[in-house]
Amino acid sequence: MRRRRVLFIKLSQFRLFLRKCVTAVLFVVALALLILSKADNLLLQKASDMTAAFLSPLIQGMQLPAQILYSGYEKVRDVAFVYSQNKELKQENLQMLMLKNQVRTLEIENALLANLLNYTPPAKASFVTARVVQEEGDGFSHSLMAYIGDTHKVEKGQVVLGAESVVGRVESVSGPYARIILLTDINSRIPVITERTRAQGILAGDNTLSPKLLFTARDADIREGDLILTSGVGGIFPSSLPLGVVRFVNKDQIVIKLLTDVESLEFVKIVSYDAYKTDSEEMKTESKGKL
Amino acid sequence: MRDSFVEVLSFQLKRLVPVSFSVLLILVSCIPYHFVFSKYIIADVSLMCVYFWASYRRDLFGIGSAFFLGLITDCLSLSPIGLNVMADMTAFLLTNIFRGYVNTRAFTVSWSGFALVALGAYAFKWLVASFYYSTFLPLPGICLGYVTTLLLYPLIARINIFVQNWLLSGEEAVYEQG
Repeated sequence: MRRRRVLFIKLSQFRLFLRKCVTAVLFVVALALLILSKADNLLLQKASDMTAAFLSPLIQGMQLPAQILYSGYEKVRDVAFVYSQNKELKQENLQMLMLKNQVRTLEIENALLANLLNYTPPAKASFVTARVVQEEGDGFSHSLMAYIGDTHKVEKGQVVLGAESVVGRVESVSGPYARIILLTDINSRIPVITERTRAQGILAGDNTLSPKLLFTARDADIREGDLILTSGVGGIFPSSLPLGVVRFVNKDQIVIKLLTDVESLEFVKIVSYDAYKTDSEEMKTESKGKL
Repeated sequence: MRDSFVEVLSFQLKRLVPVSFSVLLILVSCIPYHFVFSKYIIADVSLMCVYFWASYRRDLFGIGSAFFLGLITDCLSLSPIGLNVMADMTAFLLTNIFRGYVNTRAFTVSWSGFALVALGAYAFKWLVASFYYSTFLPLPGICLGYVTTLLLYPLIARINIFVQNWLLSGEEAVYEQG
């Protein structure tokens, strides 16, 4: 049987050549994608976000059976402890009532003093609670995808809080999903201060569970157990939000332990501080009214 | 004799099984699990799928499929787009080297082959990522990822074997040289 030839090359050899070409072309495309990604190409970012937003409902749908089972289990457990919990709650409620009165008095006192000092109060924050639908964390990146629904309040750069502290910031919003970059991610850099000595630094993630404190002054007094807060420098994060505590300090690095376990978040709170409404006037009139 | 439309459609759909099932497994791996050790399980599912299908059903899984799986992984994660694409294609090319030897032998041999392929892919990914960020990424997290990927491979392979036997058993694998 005659072998088929394309010009002077055997067809099988030509196919092999084409296959090798495809491999090379795909590697070049991958490299081009990497370079565009490094250059923060908007189109690429948008395409990636849209793909993630398209796939996220599937991931969310897959969770449904497990969620139904878990909520059923939680209901049964709640019923079993309902009497003891009710007793505890009644006692807590009494304490809360007393505290509420104290807080009210302090609020009025604070408003009066602020009025005397002509103090500008910090911005009011509004927040959206979102369920984590997808998590991803390995040696190469640490991020979350949260379902925000049809709210239009969530924007890039907003602060994301866990149960006790800041866990990250919104990286991008695509449809009803927000991609969150965690404090542990290598791209995360946040200006911070220590609560005790007000020493400044930058909290930098490195894709491990313990971010590092960088760019601190050589003679900064930072000790194990010091609380780390946002400094507010840069204007993206408001000041004095807790982040973590100093785990240990040695010659080369200061390692931080985050207050919230970022790897097991079920819900997050996305806080908007940029609706900067300094309602000092409102407070002043309020305090005058109370007087 | 010309094939009927249904036969052609069935054939084309069967060709998509490895890739679509791998995408499904990648999506499952992204579900947040809130049990105690879930944060330490950081397996690279796309790598496992690339190795499995490239070594056992090369006729249904080409380098384009590896590219696509890498791209999906990149879009779902915050890692630079192109990083997992490159790692998966490297894994595919490495698998091609071992394929002839591995796929006719016991599972433990295939597993050992995966250990080598995954090591190569992880090392390559680490180098590219370190170059991208202009700093060497900490190795403990990457080693943990490698070890969990290696340990979870039998599970993913079992699932893929089940899919292969269930959906593609009538098909005969064609192993091409080169």
